[in-house]
Amino acid sequence: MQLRHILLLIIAGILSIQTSAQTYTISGYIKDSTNGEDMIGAIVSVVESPEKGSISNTYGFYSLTLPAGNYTLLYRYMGYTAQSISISLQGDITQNISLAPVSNTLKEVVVKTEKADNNISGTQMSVFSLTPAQVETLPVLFGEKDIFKTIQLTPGVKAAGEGNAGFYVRGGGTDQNLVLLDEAPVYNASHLFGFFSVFNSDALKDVALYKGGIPAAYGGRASSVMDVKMKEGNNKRFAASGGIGLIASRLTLEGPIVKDKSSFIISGRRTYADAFFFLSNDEAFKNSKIYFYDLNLKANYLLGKKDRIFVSGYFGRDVLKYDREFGLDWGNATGTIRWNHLYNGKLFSNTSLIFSNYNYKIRIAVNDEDITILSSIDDWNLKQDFHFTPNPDNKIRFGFNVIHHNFKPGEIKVGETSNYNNAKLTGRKALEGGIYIQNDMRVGSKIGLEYGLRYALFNFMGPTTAYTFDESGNKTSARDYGKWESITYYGGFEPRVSARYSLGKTDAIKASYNRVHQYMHLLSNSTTTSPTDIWVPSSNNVKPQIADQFAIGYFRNFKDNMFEASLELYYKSLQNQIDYRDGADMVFNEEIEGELVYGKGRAYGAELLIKKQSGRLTGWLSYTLSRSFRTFETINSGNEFPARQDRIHDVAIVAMYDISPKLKASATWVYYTGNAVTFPSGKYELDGMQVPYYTERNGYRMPAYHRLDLGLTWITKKTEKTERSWNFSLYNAYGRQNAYMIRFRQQENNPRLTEAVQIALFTWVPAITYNFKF
Amino acid sequence: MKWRYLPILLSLWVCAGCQKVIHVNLNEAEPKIVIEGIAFEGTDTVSVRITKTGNYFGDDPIAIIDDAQVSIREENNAPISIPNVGNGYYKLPAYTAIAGKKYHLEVIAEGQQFTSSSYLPYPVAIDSFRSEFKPKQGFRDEGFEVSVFFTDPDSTPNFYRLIYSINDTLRNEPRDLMVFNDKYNNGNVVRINFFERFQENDSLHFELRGMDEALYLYFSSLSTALGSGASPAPANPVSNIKGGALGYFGVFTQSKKHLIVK
Repeated sequence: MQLRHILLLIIAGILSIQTSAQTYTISGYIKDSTNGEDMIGAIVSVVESPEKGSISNTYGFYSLTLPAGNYTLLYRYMGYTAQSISISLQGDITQNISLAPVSNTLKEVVVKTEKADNNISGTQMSVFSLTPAQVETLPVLFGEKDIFKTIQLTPGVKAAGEGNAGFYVRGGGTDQNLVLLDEAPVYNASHLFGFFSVFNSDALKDVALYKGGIPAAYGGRASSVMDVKMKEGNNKRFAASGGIGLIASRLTLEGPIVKDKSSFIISGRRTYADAFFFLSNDEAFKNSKIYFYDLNLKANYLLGKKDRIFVSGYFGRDVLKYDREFGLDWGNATGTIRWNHLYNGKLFSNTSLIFSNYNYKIRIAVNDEDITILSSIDDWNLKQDFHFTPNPDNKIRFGFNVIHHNFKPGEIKVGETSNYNNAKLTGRKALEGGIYIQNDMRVGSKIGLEYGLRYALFNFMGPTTAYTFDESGNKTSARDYGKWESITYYGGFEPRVSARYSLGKTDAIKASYNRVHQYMHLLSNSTTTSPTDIWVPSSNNVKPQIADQFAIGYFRNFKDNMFEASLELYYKSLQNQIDYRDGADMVFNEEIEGELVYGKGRAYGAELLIKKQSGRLTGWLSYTLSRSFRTFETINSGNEFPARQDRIHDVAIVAMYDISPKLKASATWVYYTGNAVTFPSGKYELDGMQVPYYTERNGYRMPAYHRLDLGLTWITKKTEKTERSWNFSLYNAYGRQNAYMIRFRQQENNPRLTEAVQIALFTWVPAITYNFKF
Repeated sequence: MKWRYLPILLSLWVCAGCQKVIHVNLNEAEPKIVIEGIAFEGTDTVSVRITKTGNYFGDDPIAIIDDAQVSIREENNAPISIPNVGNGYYKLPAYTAIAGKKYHLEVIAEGQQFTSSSYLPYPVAIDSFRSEFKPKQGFRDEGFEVSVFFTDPDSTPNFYRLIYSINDTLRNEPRDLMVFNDKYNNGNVVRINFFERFQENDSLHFELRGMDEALYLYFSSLSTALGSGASPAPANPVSNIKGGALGYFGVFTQSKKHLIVK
């Protein structure tokens, strides 16, 4: 779709405001009646003409413009009792609504709620969203309800593997996912090498993962956007919830600051794996530490009818320490101020100012040495979004986003008696930005069109030293640049289009195309994604990654929306992918850009999802058949090779069953064929050792991975305001030793012979957690 | 299993015994020529070995090439032929290599030509040792903690390898490969520590070798290739031999010292 066409469509949308009849706007906020939380994605429809409607935005605001007259409006949200209001529309009206959750007592209740048919009626495809209620009963590692891990059980999303923090979406790398926590980008979204996520599920409100057809409002990462929204805090009464478990515990406190106007929420979590260390007789272990914590702090205040202010902070840290000798700690810290402003019933605005810091610190204190290694990224981010709803057929969003990045790639500080020198890598600065406009448009009753355009830009600038390199990676020049002096500027248009054609009340075809530029790249040269992996900006040497993705899908609901099914096909083309030279020096290297080589990639696949949304048994079946390839001139003799994440078959079956109102069981089974890996195809003798000889890159496969997780939740007490429950979970119920790594080495007894050794990380991992809410 | 590690393992729920030998089907690549050429500063034997790769799990004796033509020359001087002594070895005794000069190796084997160059840096000697008795701490047994000291010249980038043997047994496993540069401690007194602790009266032989940057790149990438599994993309070490052979040719400085632990 050409730029010209998109602009024309936007103008047509704006002009389609009916000028013949006088129209007025009904707008307001939709909230949960029990705690005042804004409801995201609640549906407002006009009973008299069901095609006219609106959806509440991320702050719970909705806007509906209709000709003067009498209407009955119906407000609905899954899991809540629908409400209808009769209005006589003779002027602009503010109508705020509170929806009550469907009564959930211990009596056997046949739950008949309004089931969302977004699968068919929404234009957005390639998105998977979850509410915390759905995550509640899933069994995951260590009994924690982990939304991050749950997302990895859906089609097209593959976990990077045990011990790995990231995930792959549709054949893309782990750095190609934008993880937003209340609009703040999170650089390392997991703790302890991927075993836990940074999201405390008690404080989560909404999660959506966009795998394709990414709306123009988002940019910066090639493969996906994971948009996580936290709760604002109960503004009606004080509430607490939490859990105590074998390995980790969490606590959330929320309440009103001024009833119905202002609230706060504090949510924290900590593991205490190292609590067992005191049992050891060994001095070294006694002084060791291994823990992480998360702390979310939020407060919001309603200033009059048109303005609302939000302040939030997130602090998370992982700490590993061995005796007094070695320590590694890393973490994210973000602080956000947001301001919602209503210009009028049709125009909503949000302004956000975000500060984010990601850093790690290594401390080595052995044999009179005292060395500290530091690295950090600081971001200042200003975002402005406008939501303009001129009529029920068009929802327009436009705005901009500017981020100032400050990289401090590394600094070594040594003690006075050290044999090492102080050193510092040159800092780097950059300005990243985007301007966008998008429209979610209905054309008649059968067609939906979501189209938009984003202009993304990146300015790599001083003060810094910029290097150039020859083809072999040797430095050819170094030039200093001053503050704000531009070294390299990148900019590009990113068309984003999604279209839906409804074939009937129960099925729809959707198609989408998007282009995304990615200006920040994660260099990871180890099997385990490590907190010390390096983020580098695009520069005079490193070009931005560009992803183009086409997707098409068929969507069908069965049995009155009880079942949702979809089949999506995608094709993704990636440019300027990064890999490393053989023997690349990745550690504290000022000239690290000389170690990089560039190439391209492609990925395609088919994703099947069948979801059962209601009844005693709920859950889903997900199957993905996909391929992902890379081509680099200097790797594999320039021949295309499978990317590491080229797992051809990926299956997940998730089932949640209500045995009784007090007892819920769940089971998860995952199966996937192995990653592509490089194994030796020969060996030779050198320096008295047996050395493996490698030929093709990623020419082999790891063995298939599969495991079963089981969980049981026993609710011992449940009233309207309180709940107590026990959760028992068993990870890897049949104890399969899934290969984490396969190593090739000389045999102990006969060093001339070699063998392959498989290392597995986990077999059975049971966990017990006691959860409470009051 | 060592019980004192239990608290750590318990807290991590990590599988303590989850390592097992497995069967993997590997391809059999076309055999490739491997050249290992070593010379030392001073007057010493130049030793070159020419072999071929074999199947990874194979038990056959190593394939050797005894009919190659091998020669070494210093800078632009005339090449000196290195005779074959059998079993894939070619040796030239009493060859003098001088610090600051560049040496070139030429091999013609199986109709292919291979060349390589290595610059011989100025020697750096081991200065001294320190050995201190330490009690059991964490993962380390009680015993003597030994450190080796030498002074790195700050005029040039330097690249080293440390080889050691205990009681006449050469430490030659892949994990014993110790190669380092002076990036972090240029011009300083360098202290090398060993994680392993030694017993009283252990006889330790240390050899500090100096080499050029291309060889350092070879040995550090060799270290990565040997530690297969830890890297997502293992590759062959970056050889300094042109022509498509595996292996390396290096001229090293050598400093040998002996220590009896007490």
